[in-house]
Amino acid sequence: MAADTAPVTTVALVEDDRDTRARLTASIRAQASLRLLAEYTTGAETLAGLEPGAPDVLLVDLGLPDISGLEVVRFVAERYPGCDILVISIFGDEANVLAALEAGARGYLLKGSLQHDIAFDIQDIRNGGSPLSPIIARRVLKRLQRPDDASARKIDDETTLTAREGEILNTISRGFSYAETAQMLGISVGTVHTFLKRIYRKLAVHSKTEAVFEANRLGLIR
Amino acid sequence: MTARGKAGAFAAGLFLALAAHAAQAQVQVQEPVVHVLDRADFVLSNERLLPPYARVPPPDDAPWQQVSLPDNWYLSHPGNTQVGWYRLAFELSPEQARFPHALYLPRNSARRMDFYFNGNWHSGNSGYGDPGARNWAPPLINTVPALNLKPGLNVLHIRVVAVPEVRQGLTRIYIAQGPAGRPLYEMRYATQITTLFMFSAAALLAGLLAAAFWLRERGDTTLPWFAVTALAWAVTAFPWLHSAFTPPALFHGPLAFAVRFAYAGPMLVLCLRVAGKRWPWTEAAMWAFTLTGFLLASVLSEDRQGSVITYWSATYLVALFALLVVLIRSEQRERRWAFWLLASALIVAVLLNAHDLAWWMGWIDYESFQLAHFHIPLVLFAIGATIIDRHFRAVAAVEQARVELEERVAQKAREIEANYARVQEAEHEKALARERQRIMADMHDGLGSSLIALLGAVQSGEASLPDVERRLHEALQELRLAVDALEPTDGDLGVILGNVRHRLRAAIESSGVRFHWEVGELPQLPSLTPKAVLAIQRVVLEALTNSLRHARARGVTVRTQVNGNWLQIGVSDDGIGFDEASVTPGRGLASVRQRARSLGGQVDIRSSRGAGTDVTLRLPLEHA
Repeated sequence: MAADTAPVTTVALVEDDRDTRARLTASIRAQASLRLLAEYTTGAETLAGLEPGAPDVLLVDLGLPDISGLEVVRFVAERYPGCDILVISIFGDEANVLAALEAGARGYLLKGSLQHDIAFDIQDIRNGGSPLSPIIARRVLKRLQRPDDASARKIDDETTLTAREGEILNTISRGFSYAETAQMLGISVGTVHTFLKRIYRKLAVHSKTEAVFEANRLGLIR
Repeated sequence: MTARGKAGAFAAGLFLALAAHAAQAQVQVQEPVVHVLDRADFVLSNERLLPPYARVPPPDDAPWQQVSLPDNWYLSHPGNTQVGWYRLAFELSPEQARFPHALYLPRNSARRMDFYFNGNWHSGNSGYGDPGARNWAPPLINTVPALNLKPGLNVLHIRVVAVPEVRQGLTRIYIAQGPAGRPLYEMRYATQITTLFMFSAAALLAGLLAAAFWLRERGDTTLPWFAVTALAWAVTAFPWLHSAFTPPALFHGPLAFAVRFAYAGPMLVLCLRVAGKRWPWTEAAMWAFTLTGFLLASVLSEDRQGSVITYWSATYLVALFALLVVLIRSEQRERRWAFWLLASALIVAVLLNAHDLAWWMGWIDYESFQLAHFHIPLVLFAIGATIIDRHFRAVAAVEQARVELEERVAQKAREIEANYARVQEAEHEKALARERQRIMADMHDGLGSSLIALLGAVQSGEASLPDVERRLHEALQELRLAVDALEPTDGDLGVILGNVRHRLRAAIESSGVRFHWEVGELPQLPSLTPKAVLAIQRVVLEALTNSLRHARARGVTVRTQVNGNWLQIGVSDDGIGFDEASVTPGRGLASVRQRARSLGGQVDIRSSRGAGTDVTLRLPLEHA
């Protein structure tokens, strides 16, 4: 991957709040490496607007007036696997961030972020995922942990963490940067990114099987 | 059709095939029969009191009358008590007369028969000497040596003592050469008598088995009747199976007669119960029927049993037919193979009994087979199959019920668990809400007052722009940490510290210091409240911010260490430091100390001018 030579990355934005939208578009326009393709204010508009094709990166606000931002994330992730989705979140909304990651988002940025952060975040996401906060890393770890009683449920490598993946998440949850994590585990930063990509995928698969499990439990599927 | 159904059909088919084979055999062996005598001269003789040596055929000038055979005395001489004499003639060529012959009668149905060839007594057969004779009319075969025969016309006299009421008389006479008559006899005997042996032995065994099952399962309402029916049949039929078992002559009449009643009543009750009907009055009537039969049998002489047997046969036939109707009408909801087996058995039973009644009434050939007894093993087999089917269905139902019960118990357990979890969650939510309230109040005091102070400074124009920016950053930081503190981390200290670094990421990167993050695996303190979490984060944040902003440090290190029951969090830098003695404890330091105390811990701050600063927070791991 020629991440350093950084070809122009196309970006689209979904945000209903006018001020936030203005701030974000200004931030994006200020970056030479980014090109803003479109801005949308509702989910429906987004889905219609993406018809001809998706940008490299889509910024999605979770609180949209018509449909849930999560729906947009799920749809786009399913339909345009090549499109990286960043959700725009506020403080303390870790639950929604996790749901967005499960729905197929690759990262999140905070509404209060400074302008230059957006370029970093977008670059991060192109490299394999934005930095997980310790709190989110811990949540992912909890969610994908292999059950203690391994015999109780069939061990499923599709939805549970390997020992290495668990180690990486554990390290990140203690506040270490990716570089430090890589150094501690004796691997390259690129490998950390690869592991994280795999973890994101497991999160999505896990949420699907969990939905099936839940539906089974509630008797929706027979 | 199920496998069991096939087995039942196979058994029925086998039975039918045997019967068909028996009927066919008669035709096949016609060939070597020399004569079938169906005409005779007959004369009655009042000679019963004569001693045996005086019993000679009546002279030719006696009042002989021509009759045709078979001669069923019930039809031809009703009420007759005299001895009957038959005179038959047959031709033998000189060639034939040199060989012994066989004399074969399909039915040995008289009290006594004596055979005279050409005037000489040849043999005598007492029907009572043959164990089966009284009820099932076995065939008869006698060998006639060549000595008793002559070329040309031979005359055969037969002296017959018979009871018309019980359908005794004389069948046609088959004269066969040498051993040629034997297969005829064997086939007839096997069909009429040997099958009875088999049925009786099987009924005995089945009855005993059913009784054994019933002893283990007293509640069953069909098993005892099955046992009684089978055993009644086996016990009453037993004496007739072999002469060795034959009871004294005195009991012949009553016992022979009783056989019919012994099985009929229990079997009808049994069939009704299998059909799911329990009609006390009907059952009582059947018992009365059976008992009356027994009583009549022991009271009535043989001469008078005939009409009782007629009524019995007709009643039984009607009862069987009624039973069939009841069965077909009762089990409409679920017709399983066992139902069809039982219905078929009853249809066959009706047909066989109708056949024998027709014979009894003299409507069909006197030499016909007796078939009615075949229905007993058939019906018993069908009922046995029904009982077994029910038994296994019940076992399966119990198993099914057990599985369902288990499933339901598991379901309940899951529901209770879920309820418990919900209650737990609600409790947790409530505690969290309380805590949130407290932090909000705290924020209002802390964050709110600093914002108000900042507002005042801005309004009065005292504050410079960088100053305002810095203080706003601090306020935002404070806000973020407060919100983070509400995140459920289960007191995971690693994450709590990690989050401080995460929030300070931008500040750390822009400060350009070498940052050493040495946070090891830390214990979890689930009892840590959000307020305590916030307090820890504030202490660490305060220390870090000081090092980054004021110390002019090149390197900052955050290090954790677990020391017995204490956790140490150290923040140290290699910056300018300060002189502990010269610095009056400021607001920042005071609040740090106060927060550490609220956590049950303490803060050590060591610094000297030019030698960096070292802030260590000590926390008890065991929250009392």
